[in-house]
Amino acid sequence: MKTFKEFDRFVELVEEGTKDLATNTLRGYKDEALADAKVFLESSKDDARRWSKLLLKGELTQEDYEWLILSKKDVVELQLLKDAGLAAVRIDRFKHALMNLVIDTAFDVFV
Amino acid sequence: MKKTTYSTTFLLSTLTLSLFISACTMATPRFDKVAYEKAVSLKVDSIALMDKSIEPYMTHESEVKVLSLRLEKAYEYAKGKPKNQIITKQWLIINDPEKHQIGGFLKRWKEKETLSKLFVNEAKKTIADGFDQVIGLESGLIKAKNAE
Repeated sequence: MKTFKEFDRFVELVEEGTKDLATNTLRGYKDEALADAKVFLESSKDDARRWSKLLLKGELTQEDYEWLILSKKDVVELQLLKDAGLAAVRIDRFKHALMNLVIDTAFDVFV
Repeated sequence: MKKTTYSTTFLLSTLTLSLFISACTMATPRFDKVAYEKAVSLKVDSIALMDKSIEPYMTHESEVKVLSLRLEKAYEYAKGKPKNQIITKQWLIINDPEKHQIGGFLKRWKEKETLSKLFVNEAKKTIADGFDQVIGLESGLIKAKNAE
């Protein structure tokens, strides 16, 4: 029966540690990504407004205007890729720390 | 005795599980100083060459070819690194002549022969933003390395 208690203790310790790890490793990522996207969208709106005015004044051609809008669209795609890459990095760090937690806890409880 | 057997079995299971998790942790690339420096250098040089696009393309054709080759090498370098698909996709967009980053800009310059100063100034901002997304991801890998 003692060994089952040890197993329960092991599970409990890993669960507690996992919560702390998730909080420390992944916390704030969503907020950071959203804030980053908000800043970018605001600056994109400003650019689009400025380009529209320049188009109306005839300082930019229709073709230039379209090219710039499509360029902004490509930047959005590049930013989404960056965000996906940074999220994957955080998840990797979490997995790495989780692996250490499982091993350390197992040795603490069973050895 | 029974406890020892139980504990050993469990420890082995734990280590196996940990090795499995460890194998999964290699899903993202590691920090690469060369890749980071390449991205920064290409951004600076691309913006500098864009300034010249108010002049005839033919005058700067050799410079365009040199830059295009360096951009292609950066893509191939990213593509050759294991588990580096995200950054490779970014370089594909940046280099693609059918898109609207530096690859597309150089194609447009060649087609139009010269470009207006106003257009070039506006395009410089979006193209710099595009490079910043690659640099941002590369520098994110530096931060991840430092946090380990």
